[in-house]
Amino acid sequence: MNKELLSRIKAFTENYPADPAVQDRIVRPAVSFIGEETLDLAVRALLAGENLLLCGGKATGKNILADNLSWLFRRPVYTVSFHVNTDSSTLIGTDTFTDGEVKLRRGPVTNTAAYGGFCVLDEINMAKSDAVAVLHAVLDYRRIIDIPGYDLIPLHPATRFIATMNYGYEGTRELNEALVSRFTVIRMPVLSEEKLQELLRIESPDAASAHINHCAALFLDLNEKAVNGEISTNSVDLRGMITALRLMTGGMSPKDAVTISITNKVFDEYERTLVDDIVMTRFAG
Amino acid sequence: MNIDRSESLFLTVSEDHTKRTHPQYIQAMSSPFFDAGGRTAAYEGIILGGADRIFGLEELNLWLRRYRYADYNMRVLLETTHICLEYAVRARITADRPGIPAMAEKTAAELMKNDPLHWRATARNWLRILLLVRQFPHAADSDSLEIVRRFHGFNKNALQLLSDLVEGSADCADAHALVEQAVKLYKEIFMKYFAPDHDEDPLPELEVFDADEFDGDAEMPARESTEEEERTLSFGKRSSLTDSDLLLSDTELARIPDYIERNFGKSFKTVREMEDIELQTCAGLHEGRKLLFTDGFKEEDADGASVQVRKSMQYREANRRLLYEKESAVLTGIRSIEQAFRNVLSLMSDPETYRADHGTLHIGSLWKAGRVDDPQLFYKTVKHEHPSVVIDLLIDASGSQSARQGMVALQSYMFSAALSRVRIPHRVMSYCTYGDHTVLRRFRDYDDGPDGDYRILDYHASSNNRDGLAFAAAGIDLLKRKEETKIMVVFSDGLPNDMVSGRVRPGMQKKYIGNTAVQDTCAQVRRLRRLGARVLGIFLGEDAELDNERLIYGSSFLRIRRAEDFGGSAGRRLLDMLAQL
Repeated sequence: MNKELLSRIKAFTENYPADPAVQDRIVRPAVSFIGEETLDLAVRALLAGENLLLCGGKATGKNILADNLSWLFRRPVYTVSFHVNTDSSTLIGTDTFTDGEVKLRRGPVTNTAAYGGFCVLDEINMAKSDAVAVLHAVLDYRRIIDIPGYDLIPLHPATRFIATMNYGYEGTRELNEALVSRFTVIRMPVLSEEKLQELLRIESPDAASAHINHCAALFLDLNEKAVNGEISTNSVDLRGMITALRLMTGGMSPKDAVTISITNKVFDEYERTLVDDIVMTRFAG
Repeated sequence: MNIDRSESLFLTVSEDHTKRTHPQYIQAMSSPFFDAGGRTAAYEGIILGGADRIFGLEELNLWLRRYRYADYNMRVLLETTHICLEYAVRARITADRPGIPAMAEKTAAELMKNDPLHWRATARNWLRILLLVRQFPHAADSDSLEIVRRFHGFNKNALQLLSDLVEGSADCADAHALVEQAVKLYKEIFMKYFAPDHDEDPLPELEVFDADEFDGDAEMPARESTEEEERTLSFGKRSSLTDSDLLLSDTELARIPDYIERNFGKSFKTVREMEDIELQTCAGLHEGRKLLFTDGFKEEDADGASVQVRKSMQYREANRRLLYEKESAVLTGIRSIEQAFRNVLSLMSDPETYRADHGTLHIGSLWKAGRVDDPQLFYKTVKHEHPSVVIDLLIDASGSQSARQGMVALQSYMFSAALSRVRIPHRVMSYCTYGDHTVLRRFRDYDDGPDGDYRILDYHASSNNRDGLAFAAAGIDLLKRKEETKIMVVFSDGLPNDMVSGRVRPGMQKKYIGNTAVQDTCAQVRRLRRLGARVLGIFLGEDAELDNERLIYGSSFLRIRRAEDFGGSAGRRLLDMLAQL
């Protein structure tokens, strides 16, 4: 990253030092983000006060980028993984009984607002209407959270929201227009084979080069099939591929390692056959 | 996308996922391997994928076409080309895909053990067995080894040349060089040591013909085929009763649109809409097919109408009579399905409430404050948004259902009537294929009232069924619906089958039967699922087809044998399945 950006980040962190109460939420990410240009884009947008929507396929490093940004800006991280039951109270908080009185127990969005954190809204396209209504209000230009029965909570100036969504596969849900308009959108580039190999090498340093190369190539094969709607995204699983690589390094036969880490995650018999065919081309036994 | 195993491998190995038709000579070269199915077909996908990536299939086709006009025996040249291509591709892509040799060996074992391509039947093809045994000695079976032993008296130099030429293919720089290598093999071995009458052997028929004019270089002898040759090359030799007898002639095909309209009714879609739908669906295996969406005939059409219309009316009467005979069982079935749906909808929309240390204060529990360690003074409610559901009910109306026509009509009627009672918008259509046309006959549309259910008793079974095409066509309207939960329920016998294909086209599979049809249907079901529709099969067939049904629908299918079944255990299982959807 260039010096100008680094100095702006430094100024930002000096202007907004993190509250000691949430120091434990400022964590150095286990993996560094690979992709200088994307990182530059994201940093510039955050410095300009924008919220980010990172969209792209599986294993393009959306969450790794979010973690790296939080660390660069030294902000406490609050993560919300959206699912069908994520509602407004999950995000903002609800009443609880403490010290003999009913108080608000803050949710991740309220905590982010209070401590000037970075809130990672994972799989935001899975948000239901109740949760989307909260996000509309929170991401509004007024930067205020209004909870009935309690005071208004203004957003700390360092507060940013980083949303992620899978996109590019058949059947992924669209995000509603009003919500998209509240973000600057970064389309995550697909990891090249070399970068994927680099990532796998970091995750499994003792692995044989041939295994790393074939795992990376297999991952890209499966991803390409999913992008083209030939298979679902079940087998496009980088965590599974890392597991397979570790199992191979531990002595398991490559074919078996991939079968239990990748192929068997596809429960549909027909699709499993298609995935297994591709695996067989990459691993002899 | 709609793909089978061999196409899946082809797309991945070629590193180009654009769906495309293989050029005519490439298709002619590979179709016996694809028709053999199983591992042989899957491995052929790899070879063509590799060939496309390394040499380019269009380039190979172009060079092969030149030899057609130079009066080469294309059957033999395509065989030698395949030998060279397989070797070259395997040698060149193994570094990237080290699993290929193992797959090649398993395929070789299958080819030698089962002999799906009938190589043992002709002396010339013994050469291919010889090559397989030499390349994959561990895969050889006793019969193949016996064939190899018969080469002991054969010219040693020729056998050495055979090996050299095949192995030399690995060094071919481009498509031109590879075809030249195949030509050398053709001249130096295949045509030199085996007399032309070996062409009379019972090899699988190759479909080879040019749809266009020769466009090669001037030095190539441009000899046009006679009409008779074209016909022979196109349709194979006509000896006794062959598959080609099942094909419809041009005259018969020309009559089909009129016949279809007279037998199934007029289209309810505009020409523009149909063009759009056919553009989306009639591709790949269904290239050039036609679709008809029709509402069938009305009762008043019966007066003075054709024999076919009167026959439809007779089927309708028979189905209605069956309904009256089984009225009690039908009503029980309707109630059972209705209850299954009500229970599922209720389960899906019920808010879930549990006690917690945060949430909404529960006044009645306040006495616990300060008296118990974990008072749980609050309750949390997880609200589920009321799911909006739409259903497409598709009924297989092919001839294989004719034996249980009445039962299928009743089951479908019960299902539709139950859905009407719970006010779930649903459309009911039957599908069958006649010639080039796949007919989707609509009995009721999504927003019709309960009166529409009764029209399902017009159902009758005839002709063939291209399930994959019918699902794709019906899915277009379903996926456009605004409801969040889209379900397609298919009543079928797990036997997609279109024996009488309308027209043989260069580069296309001629029949929609067996593994090809099942895999196409499988792929279409998976495509719809990926696009957000839930696809559920109601199986009405015989035990022999149960495996097909399982393969097509995975765990989402339900077997029904009699109309009464919906009132019993099948109704309960339907509830379980719907709850999982």
